[in-house]
Amino acid sequence: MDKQKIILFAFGFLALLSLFLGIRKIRSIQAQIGEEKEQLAKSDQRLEYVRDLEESLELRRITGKVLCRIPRAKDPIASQVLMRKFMESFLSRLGLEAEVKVENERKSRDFPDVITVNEVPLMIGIRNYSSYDQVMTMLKEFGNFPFVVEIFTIGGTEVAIPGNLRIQLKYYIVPEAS
Amino acid sequence: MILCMDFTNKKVKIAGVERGKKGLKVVASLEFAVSELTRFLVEDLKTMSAKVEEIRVSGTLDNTFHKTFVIPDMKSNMVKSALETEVIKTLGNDYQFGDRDLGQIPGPGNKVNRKMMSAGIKRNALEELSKMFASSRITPNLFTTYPLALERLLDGLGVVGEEPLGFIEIDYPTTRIVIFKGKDIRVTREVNATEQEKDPDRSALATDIYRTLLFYNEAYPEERVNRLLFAGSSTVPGTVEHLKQKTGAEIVPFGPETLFQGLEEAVHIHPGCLGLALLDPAHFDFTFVPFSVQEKRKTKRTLILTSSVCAGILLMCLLAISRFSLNLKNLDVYHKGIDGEIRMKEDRLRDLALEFVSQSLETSQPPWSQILMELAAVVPQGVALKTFTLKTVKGAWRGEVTGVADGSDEIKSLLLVEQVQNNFIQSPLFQGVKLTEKELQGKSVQFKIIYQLNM
Repeated sequence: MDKQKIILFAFGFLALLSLFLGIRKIRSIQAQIGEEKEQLAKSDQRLEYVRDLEESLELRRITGKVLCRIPRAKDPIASQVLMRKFMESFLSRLGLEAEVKVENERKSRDFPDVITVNEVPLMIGIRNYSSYDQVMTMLKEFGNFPFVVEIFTIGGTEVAIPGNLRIQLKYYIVPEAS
Repeated sequence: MILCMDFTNKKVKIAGVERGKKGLKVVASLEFAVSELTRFLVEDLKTMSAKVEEIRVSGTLDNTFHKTFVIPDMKSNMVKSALETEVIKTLGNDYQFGDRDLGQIPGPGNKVNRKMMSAGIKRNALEELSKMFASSRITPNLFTTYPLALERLLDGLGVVGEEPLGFIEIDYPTTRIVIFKGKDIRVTREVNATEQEKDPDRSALATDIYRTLLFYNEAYPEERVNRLLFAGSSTVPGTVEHLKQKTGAEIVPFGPETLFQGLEEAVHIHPGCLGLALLDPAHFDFTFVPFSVQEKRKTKRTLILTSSVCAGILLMCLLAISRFSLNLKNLDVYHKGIDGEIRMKEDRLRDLALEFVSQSLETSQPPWSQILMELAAVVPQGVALKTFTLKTVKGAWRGEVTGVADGSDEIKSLLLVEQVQNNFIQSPLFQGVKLTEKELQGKSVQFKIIYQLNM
């Protein structure tokens, strides 16, 4: 084989090799770009959501109502007792004879990770109530506190506490704010 | 500097010519035996190589030909092809040759012929000449024949005309005779001169030259060489005078000083070398390139072309890669920016946790008073609800009611249950209402309805 053919063959091979490796590298970068764009779209969406949320929460800070909070102690058990007592007196003030069970404070899963909110599960068993109005007043009063009702049953047994009207609810606590 | 080398049989004549603002200047003038060429190229040239730009070479008269052919006038490519055939037919296929169109001449009848001068050098002689420069860092870029170089010099001096001109370079041990007629090189001959001691008045040499002139007269009976031009370091006045008397020719003075500077200081004056210096390689028809050099050039061209293509592909790939990499980097930076902003917002959201809780409560809790009012409305007289439950299951509020419908008979009780179900269905607060249990107990009917809250 003469020199020229060897040169042609060698450089042809080199050119093909560079082309092959180059295209492979380009494809890999393009795939990375595609992946990055997908991630970017998700981040954009997340930013949009967070931005909207921030705006609405800022607006709420200015215009929204202030939630009342139940006094707490540093000791968890003392806090638990304080909360039970508070709920019993709160219900008693509304003319409702009730039994209250307070469970341990735990991290709430009802909110995104970005916000640290704890929750205290509560069970209320009201032995008797005179009218729907009394119940409605109680539920309305709940709205002034960071309470969220999970189960509401009249005559049912879904909530493990004795009573004619049983309510399972959560009390939300923002650790930094409390 | 242009290094011009003229090879005679046993000698190399060298002239170094520089192109200056005032024209050409001879800066070096040497001559030595061919056997010393390698030493010159390896040692002497090394000291000069910084100045030497190119080397031009004219070969020995041996193994060369200069011949004029008359070809029927045709298209130029056909003339060339016919000339090629003619040269090969006359001289064989061993020559590398070039041609020059000397114009049209009238042929027999009305036909027109073309006069073509061809000059060539044997391929193996050219190869050998080229091999002499194998050890040199600078290789010749122009190989041609002595008469062609000489013709250029004489053309420059303006002494070539339509009358035949005999150029005689008297030199020891070889004297060269070239007879020109216009652009046509008619006769070339090398005569070995005997030592000056044996032929002090150069009469033997003069006789040889005279014989050459006689040969010309025999070959071209209508023409006579009426002009003679003498050059060469061994020229003696006696020879010139002798030939002048014998031929009656005019002696044309040789004055290359009009074209070249520095000749006064030059030890030797080499007409062949001066002719080589005057040549324009780009427009010269008789530049011979040895086959090995042609091959090398071809290989070099292929190497340059293929490596350029390869480099081009590589460059394109690199450009594309860098462009895409840059895009990726930009996207990454942009992404990081967005992530940073998200982190900032999330940090801010931590301060707004209470507001978040408040918002969440408002959106997640059902309108209890409306529900209880609606519940009272959907239960007709004769129906007693035993239980009412509402709980969140995966973000939706699901509930159930159980009760007893007590009509005056079974049918009425069943109708009452149906009415309760219809009332639930028609209520805008409830959806997905299903009566899941219905049990007759005497005249009354126990029932269970499940529903979902429409929030």
